[in-house]
Amino acid sequence: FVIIYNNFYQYACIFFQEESLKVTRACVSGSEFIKLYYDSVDKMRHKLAKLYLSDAELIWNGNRLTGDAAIQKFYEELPVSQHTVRCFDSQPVSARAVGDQTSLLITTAGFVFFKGKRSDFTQSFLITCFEDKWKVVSDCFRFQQFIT
Amino acid sequence: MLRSEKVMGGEQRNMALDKRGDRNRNVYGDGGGNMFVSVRGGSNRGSFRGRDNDSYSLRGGPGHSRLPEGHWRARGSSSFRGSGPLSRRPPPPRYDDLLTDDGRDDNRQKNRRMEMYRGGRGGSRHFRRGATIYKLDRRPNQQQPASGWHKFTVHDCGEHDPASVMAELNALVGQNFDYHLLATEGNNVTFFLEDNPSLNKSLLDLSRRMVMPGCNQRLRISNFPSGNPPFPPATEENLEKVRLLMSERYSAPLKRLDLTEFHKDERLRSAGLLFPLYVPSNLSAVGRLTAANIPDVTEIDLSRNKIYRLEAVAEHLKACAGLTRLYLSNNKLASVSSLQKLRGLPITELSLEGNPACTRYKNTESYISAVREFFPKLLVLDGKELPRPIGFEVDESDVVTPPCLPSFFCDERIKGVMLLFLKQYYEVYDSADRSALELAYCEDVVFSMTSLLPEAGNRAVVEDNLLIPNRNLRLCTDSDRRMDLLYRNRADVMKLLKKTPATQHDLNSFVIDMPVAKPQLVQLTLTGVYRREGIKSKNMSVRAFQRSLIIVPVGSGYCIANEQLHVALATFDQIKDAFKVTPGAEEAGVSPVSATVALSEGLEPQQLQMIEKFSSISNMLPEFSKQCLEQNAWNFEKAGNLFLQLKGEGKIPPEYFKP
Repeated sequence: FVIIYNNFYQYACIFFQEESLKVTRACVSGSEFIKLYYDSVDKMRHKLAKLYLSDAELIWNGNRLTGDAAIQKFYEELPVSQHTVRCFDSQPVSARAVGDQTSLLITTAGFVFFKGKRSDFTQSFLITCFEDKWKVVSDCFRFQQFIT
Repeated sequence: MLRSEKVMGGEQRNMALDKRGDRNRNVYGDGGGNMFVSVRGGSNRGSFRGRDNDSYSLRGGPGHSRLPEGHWRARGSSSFRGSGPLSRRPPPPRYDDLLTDDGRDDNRQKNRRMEMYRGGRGGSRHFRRGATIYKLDRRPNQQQPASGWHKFTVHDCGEHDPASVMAELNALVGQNFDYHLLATEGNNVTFFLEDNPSLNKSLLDLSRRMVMPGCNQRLRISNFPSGNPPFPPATEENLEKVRLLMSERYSAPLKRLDLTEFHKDERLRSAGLLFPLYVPSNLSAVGRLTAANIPDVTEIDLSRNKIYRLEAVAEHLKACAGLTRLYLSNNKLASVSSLQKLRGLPITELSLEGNPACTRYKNTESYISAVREFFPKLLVLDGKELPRPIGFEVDESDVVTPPCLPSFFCDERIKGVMLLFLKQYYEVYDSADRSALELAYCEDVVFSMTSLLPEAGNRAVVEDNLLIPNRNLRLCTDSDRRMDLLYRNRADVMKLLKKTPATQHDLNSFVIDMPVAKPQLVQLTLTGVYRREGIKSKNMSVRAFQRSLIIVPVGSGYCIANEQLHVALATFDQIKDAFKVTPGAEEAGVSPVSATVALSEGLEPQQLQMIEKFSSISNMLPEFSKQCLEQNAWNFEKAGNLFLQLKGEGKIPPEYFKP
């Protein structure tokens, strides 16, 4: 019985360690991603395509763009922006949804200046590990207030 | 000693005046300086000298007054009123109309007698300072009130027709003057006059002299500097009159709208309407009429209207995209920055003369550049042509922020199911008991919450900040805490959701984006507003939220595998629009109509069969049969039992059944 219990205990420990490792890694990767992403959007839009999968989806306030090149082109045509992230969260996506494909769900909130006009925004990313690099699968950007 | 101090004071004042004079010269060229030179050098010299001599006799005594002017400076004492030969400036003006000098000894006795006689009437008063007696003009205060309006009262003539009183006054003054709001108040006749000090004075002079024909009572006239007269309200009827006058003043071929001295217009006054444009609401009404009726106007003249702020009209004028010429001369705009709100209009010709704003600049260049900041395309300012602006070649029209579009779904088939899922989710979420939400979550759901609710300030929500397990990774840096705040099984999530205060979501505000819909997962982002119950202030109870969901198929239904919920205070515009019933509700996505249309979409044929069967047995409408089945995870037997139980308790409303 003791042996069985020990085994179980070890498995449980390993399981929890793995879980907590995953969560910690999600948080660290998430914060790195956000820094890199908003730096790219605000200052280096010509390098933005590298962050996206080749068939990534962007929904920017309802405008849908597919593919890394199209997304980069869309961002290059936007007015100069300055994002400030006040709040973000990152969590590993459940294995039910993605299986072995390590993925993160990231949400950010803050405010952005376009042409000197401030708008609150929220943005949600699904990023996945592709050839040992994090790549964006989908990216949803919305102003907090729907402007007609 | 005392005297020398006084003299010093005089000199300092001269210096101060000197500085001001320099500034004037900078702005207006050399005119100011020349004027003084000509005064000193010209034939006026004598009169100034005479005044100086008078003041000598006043202050210094008779002996000194005989010495030449230069003598004072030569003796090394401080210059007296800057009147040396090298001094550039004449003596400062003295108020000779207020002060009369009768300091001579032989007059004193006489003055005392006069004082005795006149003391009771209060018409004038004398007081002594040293050996001099000053006489002050004690006529009623002629100061101009800020509004420029004076209210006149002709006392005790109520029995006369106000018009006849006015005719008599006109005849006595010898001119026809503009008056407003002539009326009988009690036994008096009252009217308002605007911006006419000399007329005020001559009317007051008529007090106790004026006699109406047929009476022999001398009428008293009094005057109050008043605030604004009681303007008639801007009713529909009055606005219609204003609109008519505006259309008369509009020149269609020139596209020019002339609004100069608007409230003094005879046509408006004869209609008994006083509609001054410096009242912000009136100006705003005129702006609204302009934008609505003549949006292609190119020229608007608002001169001489005493306008002191433009905020009210700016919003409407901005709708007139072709407005290139704007005349605002002789108004009361205090600073050029009041044009800020008009920024963006393609103004090429502007006039600001006669506004206090113009005098605030040291020189013309800074004035021009201040105005150009708001209107970069300006070519003519105050009637003078400006040097053409030199800009850069930037293609500004190319850079536009794309418009906001409504909800986006990458797959129309899944859309219906997801809308129904969310509708049911929020029905339960907003109800008193949230335990049924259990069905919406996977056993191993990953859930976290973040919030951006102010902790201080007038919109602070302290209680909610304590209730929400805020996993904002910017603030929450400890790895154990990050772990604790990530909920990783259904039981914990349910505990948290039950603890969360009651809410009411505004389904019409929902905007849903679904970028990914694969067989194994659907990703949704949902933004909208909800009201947190239990807080009275609308400013704090209406919240904006975002839910990021990853939904996976489980069995025959769908469950949430990952969820991130972000909460923030709603913006003021969101608060205004929240919980409004609008005809464009479908646009947001979740509405009963779209949900029923979506009924047959996105379902397996097997499920459709189940719905049909359930509907035929229970006699319920198909959409409610589907709802019942879905809530029971497509377990036919379980759904049937629940149905029978609810039916037995009479909890199913009759409209759920087939007619």
